[in-house]
Amino acid sequence: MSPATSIRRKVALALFGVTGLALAAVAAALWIFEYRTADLRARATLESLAETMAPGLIASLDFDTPAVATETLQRLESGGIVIAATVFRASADNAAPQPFATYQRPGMQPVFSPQPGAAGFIRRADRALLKHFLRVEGVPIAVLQLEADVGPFRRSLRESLVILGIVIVLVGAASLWLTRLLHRALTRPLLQLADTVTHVHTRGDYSARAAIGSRDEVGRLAEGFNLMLAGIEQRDRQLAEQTAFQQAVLENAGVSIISASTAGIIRTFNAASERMLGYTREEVVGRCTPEVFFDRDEMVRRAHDLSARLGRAIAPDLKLVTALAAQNPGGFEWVYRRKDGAQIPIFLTLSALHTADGKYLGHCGIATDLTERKAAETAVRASEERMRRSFEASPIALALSDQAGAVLYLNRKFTEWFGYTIADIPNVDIWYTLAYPDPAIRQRNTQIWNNRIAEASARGSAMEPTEAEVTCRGGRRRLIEFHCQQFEGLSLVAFTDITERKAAEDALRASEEQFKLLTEHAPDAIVLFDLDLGVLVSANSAAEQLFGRSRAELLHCSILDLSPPQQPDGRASADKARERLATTAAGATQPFEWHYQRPDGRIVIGETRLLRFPHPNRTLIRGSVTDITERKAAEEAVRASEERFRIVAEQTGQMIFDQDLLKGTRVWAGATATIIGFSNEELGRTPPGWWTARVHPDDLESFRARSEQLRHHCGTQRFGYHFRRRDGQWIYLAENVTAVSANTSQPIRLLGTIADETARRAAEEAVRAGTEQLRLTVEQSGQLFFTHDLERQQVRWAGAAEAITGYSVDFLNHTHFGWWDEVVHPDDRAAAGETFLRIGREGGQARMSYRLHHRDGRWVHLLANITAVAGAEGRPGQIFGSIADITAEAEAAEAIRQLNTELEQRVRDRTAELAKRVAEVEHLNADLRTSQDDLAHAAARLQEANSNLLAANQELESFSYSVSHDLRAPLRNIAGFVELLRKRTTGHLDPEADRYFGIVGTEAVRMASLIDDLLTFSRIGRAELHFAPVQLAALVAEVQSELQSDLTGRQIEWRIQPLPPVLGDRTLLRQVVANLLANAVKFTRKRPLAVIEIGAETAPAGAELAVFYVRDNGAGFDPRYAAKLFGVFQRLHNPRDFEGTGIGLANVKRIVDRHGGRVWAEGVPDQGATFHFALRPATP
Amino acid sequence: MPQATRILLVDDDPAGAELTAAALHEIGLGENISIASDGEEALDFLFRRGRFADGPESPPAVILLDLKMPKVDGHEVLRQIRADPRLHRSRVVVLTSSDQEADITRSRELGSDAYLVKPTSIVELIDQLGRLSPQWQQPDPAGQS
Repeated sequence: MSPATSIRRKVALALFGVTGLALAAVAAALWIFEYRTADLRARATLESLAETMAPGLIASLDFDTPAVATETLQRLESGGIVIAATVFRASADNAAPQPFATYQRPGMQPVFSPQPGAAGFIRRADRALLKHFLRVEGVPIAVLQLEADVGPFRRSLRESLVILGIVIVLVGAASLWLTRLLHRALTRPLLQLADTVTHVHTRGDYSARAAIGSRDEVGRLAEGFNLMLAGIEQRDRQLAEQTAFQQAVLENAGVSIISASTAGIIRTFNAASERMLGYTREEVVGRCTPEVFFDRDEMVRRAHDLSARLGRAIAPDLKLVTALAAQNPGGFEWVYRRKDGAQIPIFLTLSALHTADGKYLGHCGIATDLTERKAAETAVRASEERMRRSFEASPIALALSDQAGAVLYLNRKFTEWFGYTIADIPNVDIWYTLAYPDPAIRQRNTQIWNNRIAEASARGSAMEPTEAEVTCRGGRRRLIEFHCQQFEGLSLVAFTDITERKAAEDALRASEEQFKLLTEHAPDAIVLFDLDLGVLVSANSAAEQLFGRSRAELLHCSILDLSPPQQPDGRASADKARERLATTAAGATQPFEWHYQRPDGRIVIGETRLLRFPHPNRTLIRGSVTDITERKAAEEAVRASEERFRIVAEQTGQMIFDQDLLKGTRVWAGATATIIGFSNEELGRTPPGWWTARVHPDDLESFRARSEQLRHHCGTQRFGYHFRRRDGQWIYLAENVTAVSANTSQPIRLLGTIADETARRAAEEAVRAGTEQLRLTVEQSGQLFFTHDLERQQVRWAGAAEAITGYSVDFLNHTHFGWWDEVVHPDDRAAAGETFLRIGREGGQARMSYRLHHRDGRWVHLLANITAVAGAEGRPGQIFGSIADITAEAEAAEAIRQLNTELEQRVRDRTAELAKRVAEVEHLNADLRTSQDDLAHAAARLQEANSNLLAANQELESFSYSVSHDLRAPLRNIAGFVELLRKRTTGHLDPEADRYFGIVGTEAVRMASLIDDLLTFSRIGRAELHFAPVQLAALVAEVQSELQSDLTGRQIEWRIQPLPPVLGDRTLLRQVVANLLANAVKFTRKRPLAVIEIGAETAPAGAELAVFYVRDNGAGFDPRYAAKLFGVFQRLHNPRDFEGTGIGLANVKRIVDRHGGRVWAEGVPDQGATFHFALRPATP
Repeated sequence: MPQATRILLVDDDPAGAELTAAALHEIGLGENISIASDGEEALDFLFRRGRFADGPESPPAVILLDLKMPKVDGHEVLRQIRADPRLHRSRVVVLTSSDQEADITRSRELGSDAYLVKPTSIVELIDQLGRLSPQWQQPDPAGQS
């Protein structure tokens, strides 16, 4: 059991252990006992059985009646235990004893064999054997062996064991339960106590209490513990309170409290210390000594002093401080040094700290900051010094005396003025004597003085100033004003020499009188305004008149009383007045207009001049007001009239100037700006010669001449000139100037108007030009114009009179009225005249044509357009007309008329002819239509034939295709089987039969070949052509490579020339090339070196087709049969020499024909052949 | 492989079929040839219908197929063959007299493995079949069906 095992476990172990052990011991003992006694019991039982049977058995033995013995033994059966019993006669040799009688329980097998030897008991497992000597008289005569089944015994043993086990378990459980009870009763309280202790210890929580579970020892222990805790808690609380209290005291102290240990280490450092010294608590507590904040210099100095005083050396360290403390128990002045180095004068009280039993703990220093006090002291000293100096420097005499009348202090000025020093006047009485020689005056003054003093004391304020004439040393008199201030039992008297002031005041008064006199009779209103009082303090009679108030009334008025609420500019009078006064007080002197209001409401406009009036103790403003109301009115009138004038001048649209010849100034008015671009004001500022400079050079001479004239002679001049406007534009000005004089002939003034006549001149010019143009137009028109004035019966003529009539315009204009009618053709006169009159009556327009007798005698045709022009009252007043000569036109018209007639005739003729032609054309058309119909029919028939042909072709081709296709299969089979046959029969049949088979096979192959060619041929016809540029060279190369297999062993020289591209179907053209080349190869077979050449022939210019050739040096052919060459199945060679179906070239021809080309051949037998073919070239 | 390659020969021309069989014999594939004389028969054989219902289980290794046949033509047969996954391992060689581009293309589209134009001479046929046959006699190394 280790120390850490809990009590519970210990208890449990103890309980359980003990009970367990006990039980186990008991059980063991019991069991062993049982075990042992089992045998004994068994033996005993058997023994008793044996004993019981012994007599009987012995008897049987004696009588040698085994059957009886056996019967005896039989009785064992009822016992139930014995399994086998045997009686042996005791034999001397003990060897193989013979059983005398036996018993055996039925169904059981004995285990033991007869046992020799001594009597005894043997047990083996569940069987026991008792060997019992049957004795007669102590002599064993037989042995009885009883074998018994001790099983039951043993079983009971085992059972008891089991029961024991159960009991142990029960006891164990009971003990566990007991353990728990014990735990609850005993260990738990203890544990709780332990927990509480731990809690209190770790948390410091003295308020915790142990639970008291029972009233036993543990409970008592817990109670005691709780009491103890309560005590501790209370103590702790008290301690905490006390500490807090002390802490608060320390922290809130206004003085620095620092404590240090015996070793000098700082222990406490309160908040005030922190503030005073600049160190934080953490920086110093436990880390420094107070020397940290002692001022080194101070220490040295004090040490020195103290050393001197005490007569022994004192080191400048903590010891110094303690020594000083000892010297000055109430405290001493000292110097601390802040963290930042600043010095703080302090008052330090040092006390030693002891515990209750006198143990020395350290020192505590309380320091009060003396900085302020020191500063105050210094300030006081300084101020005292200042006061003293100012006293001395004062421009007035000062004297200080106490209540007893002793004079304490006289300043320099006093001595200066009065000639007395403090030595002369030790007390005030002597002063009185000296100052007022006259006793009566002295008495009076003294009395007054004392009264005043008393009053002042009673009131608690300063004494009223008194005046008195003082006699100075040497007799001089001064008029003095006395001021007295009492404080702290002292009297401070200030003397002011008012002699001069008085004189000044008198002078002032005199001047004021003079001033009053002056102002009184001034024509302007003059007032004095007291700025502080805010009212007038003086006014003259002119003011009375202006303001409409009496002097008495005026003296109570402020500015506002005399002014309307608002000034003309809309601002309040109050504000403006305030401003004015302020500026004047500041020194402004500008006059200004002000509106005043009389009591009757009338507004008076006053020109006001304000001036700061010098006065010693009052702020006075002198104001003089001139009534300018009338003047203003007059000015206004003038201004209004000027304005009117300006407007009028402006509206004239002209410029008006007034030139003063003497002064040389010009004043301008009017629409100057509009005309010349400069304003009147600007012109007014222009220098002399400015105007002339802007006059056009061409007009300058006349301008100058005129101007000169005006200077010397009165009168009016009118002239015009060109002038350059502001914007540089030239305008025409017409100047109308009048020179006036005063009373001499010399003009002193020029008054003029200038008008812009540019427009007018321009207009005039335009009119003139227009008129001229009109005249020219009229003349050029070639027409004659007249204006017939109906009222005045006048006619004015203009235009081409001469051309039309032969008479001039002048003549017409001056001839008599009605002349015109006389020259009109008599036949036309009436109509024309009537029209004219009608228009003249009714108005409107008309056109007349008539003949006129030209001057040169011929008749001219005239066309007149007349228009009535309305006159007065809306009736036609004039008739305006234009006349044109239409003779030519008339003649032309006639000519046209004639031509027209002619033309009509011609047209009629032509029309007749045309009708005839039309009829002819009609006929032709009919014929045409008929032939068209025929054509259509023919075309239809052709179409039909064509489609028939196509169909037939189609049929033929498909027929040949399917035939050849279908024919191939059987052919193939024939050939195949023939081959098989040949294989089979080789060597079996005679050579001739072989040869026949060979021929059959060959023929079959040949037929197949023919059919193939036929198929190809038919396909060529069926196949659609796809035309595209084809590179023949490529085809040649392809075919060449194909033929390679056939060329093994052949010597062929290929000469392939450049082949231009052609237009055609690649597949078909390939066949062409293949055929031709294959032929060339075939027919050159017999040549050791075959030469095959393919190339293009140079085409003649403009040729449509490109011609190619394939030439070989082969067998050639007879040119007589060239025509047959390209026939179907036509051959010009024996099959013996060259195989082939003869369809190759037919194919070539067919293909080339379909391409729109041509093919032909040349040959020389045994020398070679050349095949040409022509195809359309592909356009590059 | 020890077993003879099973070949189905579809041709409506009996003599032609016999020739083809002889050619196959020449190249050592004449052991196991079945002949169908038109498309319908061919399909019955392949799909074990009609009188071929008790036919052999496994499909032929090679099918030589003519195109121009009555009843069901070669292309239709080809289409049906290729539609049946069971027959995917069978090689179909179109053996026809037609050399038309259209037929070749169509056969390719329908999935024939080779296209032979029946040559005129049997020697050539033997040659062509011989060139093809190594494929048939060896199993497809990739084991594709």
